[in-house]
Amino acid sequence: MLELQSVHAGYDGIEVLSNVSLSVGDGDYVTLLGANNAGKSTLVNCISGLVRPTNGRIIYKGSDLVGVPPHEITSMGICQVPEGRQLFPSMTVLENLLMGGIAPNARSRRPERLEFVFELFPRLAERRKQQAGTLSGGEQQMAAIGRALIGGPTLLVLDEPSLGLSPLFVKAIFEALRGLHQGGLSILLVEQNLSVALRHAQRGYVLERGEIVLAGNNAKLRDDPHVRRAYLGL
Amino acid sequence: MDLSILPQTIAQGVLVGSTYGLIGLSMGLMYSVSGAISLAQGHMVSMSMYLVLSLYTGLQLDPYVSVAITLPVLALAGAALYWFLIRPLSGNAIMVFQASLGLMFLIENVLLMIYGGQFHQVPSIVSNRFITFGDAMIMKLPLLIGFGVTGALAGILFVTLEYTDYGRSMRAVHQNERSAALVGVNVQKVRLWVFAMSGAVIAIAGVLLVPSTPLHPAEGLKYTLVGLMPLVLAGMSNFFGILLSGVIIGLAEAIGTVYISGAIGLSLPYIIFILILIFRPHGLFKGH
Ligand SMILES: Nc1ncnc2c1ncn2[C@@H]1O[C@H](COP(=O)(O)OP(=O)(O)OP(=O)(O)O)[C@@H](O)[C@H]1O
Ligand SMILES: [Mg+2]
Repeated sequence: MLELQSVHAGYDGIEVLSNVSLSVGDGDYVTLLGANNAGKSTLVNCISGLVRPTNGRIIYKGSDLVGVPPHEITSMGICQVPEGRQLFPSMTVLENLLMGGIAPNARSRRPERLEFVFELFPRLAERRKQQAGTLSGGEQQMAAIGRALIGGPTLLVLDEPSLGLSPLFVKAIFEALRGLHQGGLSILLVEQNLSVALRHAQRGYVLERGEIVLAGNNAKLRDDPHVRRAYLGL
Repeated sequence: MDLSILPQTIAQGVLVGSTYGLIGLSMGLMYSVSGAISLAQGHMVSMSMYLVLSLYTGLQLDPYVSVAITLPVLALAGAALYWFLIRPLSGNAIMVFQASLGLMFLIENVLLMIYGGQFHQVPSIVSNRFITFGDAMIMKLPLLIGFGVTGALAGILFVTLEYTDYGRSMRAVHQNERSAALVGVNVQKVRLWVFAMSGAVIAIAGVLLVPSTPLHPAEGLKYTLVGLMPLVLAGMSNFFGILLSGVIIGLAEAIGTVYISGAIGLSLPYIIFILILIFRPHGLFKGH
């Protein structure tokens, strides 16, 4: 469904991603692992259209996404949950969720998807009138995921959703993601938290200094000596 | 001190001030989605007022009728301002500041060239109509219309911002531009529309000012100032605070002119502005 072919990207002439190729198939649950500054967010933002690759192609459902503006990519079914939540802080939870379905093709289905998100995260329903900036970190993450879901994604891209959350919230969020995946949603999960990521995704890529150094299914990644040493501290 | 004209002075101040609030609002709108402010907004007001003059001399249109033409023209000018000035400078506030200074001189000199340096007056059929309230208050009808229109605009703006997708998109672009793009907002289009709206507000302020204000090419700077003051007092994107602060400035102006003679009276709005900034450096409506 999504295929990155030799993508290069950077900022002000400094290359951050070099020759990155990866793919996410229909119904896949793929994780992208990497340490701080590896270039994970840059990669995700290339997919979403916020960063323009200097070279390479990003093929989604047969067409190249390079140069397509972010709002159109969202309408095409790729919704990103950005690193650090990035909610609209002075809007209520409900308004944030409504914004998730702002794209013209998503508006008509907003009410039913809103219903769905409130069922998935009942906490959001309780706090629908609260300003998003005053939510706890875990609640904000739920709201950010909910906001992305209301766009009606076929591919959900999450950038470090477990960052800074208590284990209880991490569990709740990953359980919700598991349910969504079982319902047919394709997921690309960016994580530094390998143990969590490898418990849930089916396969993954390891990104180091802008290059994919390893790819494979969970068992392969978990047993790789380099991964064990560098990321799991074993 | 003649207190019998106090109620009328206050009313006059409130009404004039609401048009100042509108000018501030036009700047607040552009700031909220682009993070930059054009200092030429006051000159755009002048431009719209002279357009009203031309429509009057050329087509005998009453100012309140010619707004049907100046509004779309100024909306286009606002959109052009975004497209050709703000967008290429990618909202870099300092560069926009400088470029808008250039625009100020350009507009002022073009107006001078076309209309000359003398004062002009555009009458409206309602210019000399008065409405009396009780026995103390006599109000010029144009000012009353100004107040009503400003109130109506504030109402429309409130409903738009709070309850429509369009208004939520504006707030989203203001609060987090990248997230707005990620959820599917066409950020550029929102900016373009808000700048057009800002121009439309300018056109309305211009038409409201025309019947009670003589026109002169050099007045632009004054309008920029009376627009900037409420903007600073209220906080750049507190739209209702801006309208209210405009009223405060207008009140200071009316009371200063009527009750305090000489230069001090004329500069009362500026004195009050500076005093407020000294005692409430974060503006009038910010919490602690
Ligand atoms: N907007 C930007 N402008 C300039 N450089 C940037 C920008 N964003 C990221 N970088 C640089 O690109 C490199 C990769 O950053 P990126 O955010 O993609 O890494 P990451 O893997 O997501 O890191 P983290 O785990 O901390 O989120 C870093 O060296 C960073 O400093
Ligand atoms: Mg990152």
